[in-house]
Amino acid sequence: MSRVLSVSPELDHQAFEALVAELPDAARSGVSILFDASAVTWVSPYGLIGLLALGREVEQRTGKRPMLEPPRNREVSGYMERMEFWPAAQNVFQLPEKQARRHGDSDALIEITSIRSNEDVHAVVKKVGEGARRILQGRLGYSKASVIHFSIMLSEVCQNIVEHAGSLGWACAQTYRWQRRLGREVAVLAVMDVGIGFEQSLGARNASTGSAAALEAAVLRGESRFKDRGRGHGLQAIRRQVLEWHGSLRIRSGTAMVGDIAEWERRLAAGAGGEYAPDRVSVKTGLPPFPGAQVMIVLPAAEESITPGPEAA
Amino acid sequence: MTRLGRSAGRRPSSGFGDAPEVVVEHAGFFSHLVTRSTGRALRMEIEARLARARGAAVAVLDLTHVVMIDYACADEIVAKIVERTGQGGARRVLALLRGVSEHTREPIQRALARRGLAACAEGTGGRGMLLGEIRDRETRAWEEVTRLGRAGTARTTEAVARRLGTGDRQATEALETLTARGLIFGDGSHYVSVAVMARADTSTVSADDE
Repeated sequence: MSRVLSVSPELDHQAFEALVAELPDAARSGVSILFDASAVTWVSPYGLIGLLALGREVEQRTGKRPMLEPPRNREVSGYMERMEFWPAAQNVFQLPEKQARRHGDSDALIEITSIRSNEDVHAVVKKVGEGARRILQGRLGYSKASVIHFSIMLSEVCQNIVEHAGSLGWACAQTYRWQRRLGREVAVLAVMDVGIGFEQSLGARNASTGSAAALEAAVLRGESRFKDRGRGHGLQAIRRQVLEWHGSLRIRSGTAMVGDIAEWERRLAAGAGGEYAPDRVSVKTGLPPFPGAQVMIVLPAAEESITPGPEAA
Repeated sequence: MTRLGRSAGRRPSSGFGDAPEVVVEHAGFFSHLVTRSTGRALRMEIEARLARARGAAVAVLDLTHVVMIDYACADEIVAKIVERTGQGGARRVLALLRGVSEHTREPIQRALARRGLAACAEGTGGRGMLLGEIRDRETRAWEEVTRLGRAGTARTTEAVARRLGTGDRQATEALETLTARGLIFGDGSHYVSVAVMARADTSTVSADDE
């Protein structure tokens, strides 16, 4: 028996959520799953590695490695090559042979990097070199020290995979122009894994907490599964840095997501028909369950005042 | 990622009476100090060497060539070594962070503060400072001890009292706090700054005794 899961034309965090919602029904033992990404015309870093996480989770649930129909759109497939999606995907999906190749230079802030050990964390931090300086300073207008701060943030978020997830994870980052939504450039960093997640990780020390409570404890209060008071720095440091850069942070785990959302993004959401949320911090519960942790950080180009452009949706 | 070295068997030129030799362990780090496991491995290497010291020891953690240090590594290497500086009695270990840059300062500052610790440090230009959780009163007392370098207890107490604008009792309390926190060395008859303890040739240091 087989089942096709159609990937939305815009493969971003919302498309990821839509696919996660389909898993309980679709990904049953023995079922062959095909992710049909042929209609995809745009992908975000979160969407890209989200597809890898979904593929890995499908294999866990069905016992079969899923198939992936690549996008027909040449720009998208070229972008996926430059982001080194296919080398990572060949360990997750059944792919046509021609897709599994490595690309040369790219303009990515960080190409897709698999994280399974401390050595991988070292490797991804060292990737943040001159290219990152060009992007963070030159295109986003951040300070000279931003490369160091970005590297520290990357190191902390990737270490969470090694220290807590007990599983394979991926990281990638890219800049692009949010013309329609924001009228300026943003850098998006996505890191995710399909490991034990925050609830089980914190549950090692605390009583059963639930996804939302575990996320709030770790992300908002800096609690750790370890008694050692030196632990729990990482996520706090990431939050501080994101705040300093007027960015947004979202961490999803289990059935919940905690967000620390920038004012400009909350205003955009209100402009798009939603309600303006006065608080930076938001907690979503009741999401379809998904293992591990999924992190998305959006960093806007530096400006004195960020206002939505005329095309804002 | 680290170079270790030792200036062993040195005894400060005067004022230590029968105090045991002071061993200075130099640990020079470089490149990217990231991940907790990296920090743990480096710390254990340093601690193993410090454990061989018969008397007081100074761990000089030289960060001059470090490109970046993350919070986990700062906690494992710096904060955990500093945490042990208040322990050990006569075999006490002191720590000096050398070459702290604007990039490495914040993770170290936060790692120390999170554990309620403070440490002696020198910036890339060699200027002395305290990092971590520290009260203004302690900072001023520490600056006075640093200015003196090494001096007898009575003279140090008098100088600190003058600096703080208090009596001798409060100055003594401040000095005892600094000693207990491993921010200065005190053996009952003298107080010595950590920077002086860490210098290779202690005989050249001003011995401003009573």
